[in-house]
Amino acid sequence: MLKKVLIANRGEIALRIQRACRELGIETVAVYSEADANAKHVRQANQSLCIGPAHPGKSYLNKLALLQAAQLCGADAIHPGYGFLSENADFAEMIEQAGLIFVGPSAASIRIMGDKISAKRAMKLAGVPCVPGSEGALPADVQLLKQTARDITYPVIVKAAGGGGGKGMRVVHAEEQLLDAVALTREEARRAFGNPELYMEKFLEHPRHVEIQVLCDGHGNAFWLGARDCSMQRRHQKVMEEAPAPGIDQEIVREVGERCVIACRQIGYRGVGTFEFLFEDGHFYFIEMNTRLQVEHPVTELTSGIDIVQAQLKVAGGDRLTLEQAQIGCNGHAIECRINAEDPFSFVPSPGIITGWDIPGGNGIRIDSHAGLGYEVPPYYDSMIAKLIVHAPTRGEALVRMRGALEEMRVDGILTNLGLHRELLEEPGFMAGSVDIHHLERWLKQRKAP
Amino acid sequence: MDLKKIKALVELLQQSRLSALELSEDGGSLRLERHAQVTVTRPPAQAPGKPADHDQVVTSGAMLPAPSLITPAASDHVVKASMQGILHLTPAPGEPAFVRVGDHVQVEQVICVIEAMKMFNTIETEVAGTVVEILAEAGSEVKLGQPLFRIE
Repeated sequence: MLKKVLIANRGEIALRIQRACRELGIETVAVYSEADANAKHVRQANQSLCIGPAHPGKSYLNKLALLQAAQLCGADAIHPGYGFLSENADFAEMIEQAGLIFVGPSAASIRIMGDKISAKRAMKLAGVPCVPGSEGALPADVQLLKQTARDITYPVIVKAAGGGGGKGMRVVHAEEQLLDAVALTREEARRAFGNPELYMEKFLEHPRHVEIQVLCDGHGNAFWLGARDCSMQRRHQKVMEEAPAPGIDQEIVREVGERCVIACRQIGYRGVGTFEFLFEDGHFYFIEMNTRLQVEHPVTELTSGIDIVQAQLKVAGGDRLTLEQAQIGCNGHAIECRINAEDPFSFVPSPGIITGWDIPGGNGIRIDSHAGLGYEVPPYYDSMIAKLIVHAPTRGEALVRMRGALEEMRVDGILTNLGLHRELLEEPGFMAGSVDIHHLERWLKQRKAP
Repeated sequence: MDLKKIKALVELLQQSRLSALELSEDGGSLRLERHAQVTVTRPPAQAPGKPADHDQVVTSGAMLPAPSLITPAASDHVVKASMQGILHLTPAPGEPAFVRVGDHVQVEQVICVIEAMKMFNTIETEVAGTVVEILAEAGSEVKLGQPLFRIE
């Protein structure tokens, strides 16, 4: 078991990891930027250390400062949270080589999944269904390129091997646009990711985003904990998530979950991870794997009954998982709303001091937040100030519970997207379930301004 | 009363909704008034009859505009921060600034960027004119309504 964990993150996830550590009897070291000196998790840590100025490049992304802080404080492990360095293979490797534990998979696993072409190859080998597309990287030869697109059939999507999270991609509807699109995307990929390699896939018109949570111990024990639907997105940013994914046959989900587990065993995966899929016309298509803890992990915690962060810390410390896949159920329905400091109409960020803070409570309501009365939302980081999560026996009851919770919640002094969530909880498409990934943007376009 | 303090008071007035601010201390006094978007400073007047033994701030929203010793340039325009965030005076690190003191700017010309929560928001001028002063430092955190540029 780990003794002392350095939390290389901030905000709600730093607090979430700290709580998990506390329950396991693990000491915590908080590292923080000058902008986060008064953060709650800093106050509650066993030790805390300022690692640099507010700008993330000089603090939370400073690999050497983080490693040295861990060594100075005598931490035996570093938890990267999500974002920042959580999927940085070089950082994981640096920690491993220093003799410390990176709470996550091996640097090698992160590298395989970080390159979308090698990730797809690994998935195909494990029998995980993928979007039909090019075999490996796109050829430079124009005729071969055109033939590849014809074989896939238009519309196709050209993607950067080093991309992910919605960046570095372009949809092509006809052959005359193909060469320009490939050239442009290649240049963007070269600049943004330092890797000009591209691949091509069939472009799905109305897919849902459904993902599978996995948990592995690195000793050959791997499990899938359930599916989440994260189709409510704006500009590839998830706004709301729920578990289970509504309206999908349990048997199809179980099949794909088992395939994910096989893939984890084949690549020797350790820790928690998420396989992201597009789901269209009853079929799953793998898009990418996130080799870290995710923002929306609580919805799966509530439906599976497994504390994902505690399990992650245990396997990082070398524990063997003693679960049985058959015992991992899906109990009830959970929904998460990401509460952001932003204008609910223009989506312009709204940093500043919170002058009023009233949060909901009661049965089946969970709030993960680092904010509160008097907290100043800094302009340097992500705009999420809270995750409001509800759990109820059925989806219908969860919707009712979320509606009530949103009514109760009040944040003053800054603008938040609470109003947007209140509207979405009344929106017929979302209420019915099974909307596609373009639903929210379509709805926003026709929404009337206040 | 040193310049630093006067500057701080000017900023205080600009961020508030007050139209005037008067301060008497240690035998000196200072009165700041605001006319539209222009802040006018007047040199300290004669010591008031009764010396104040501690800082005394007199504010009033209904004060009559006192005759100014300095006539404000009627065409002065102050561009303020439309949001809180980090001020960038260049499009990217190492690139030339959007504008420099002495540059002529057009209406709706982008003159700086304010970064907040990973989003970059361009700030445009509402007026044409010459940039006479840049009032905030590049890379610094600016508050909503903080003066950034003076354009004549």
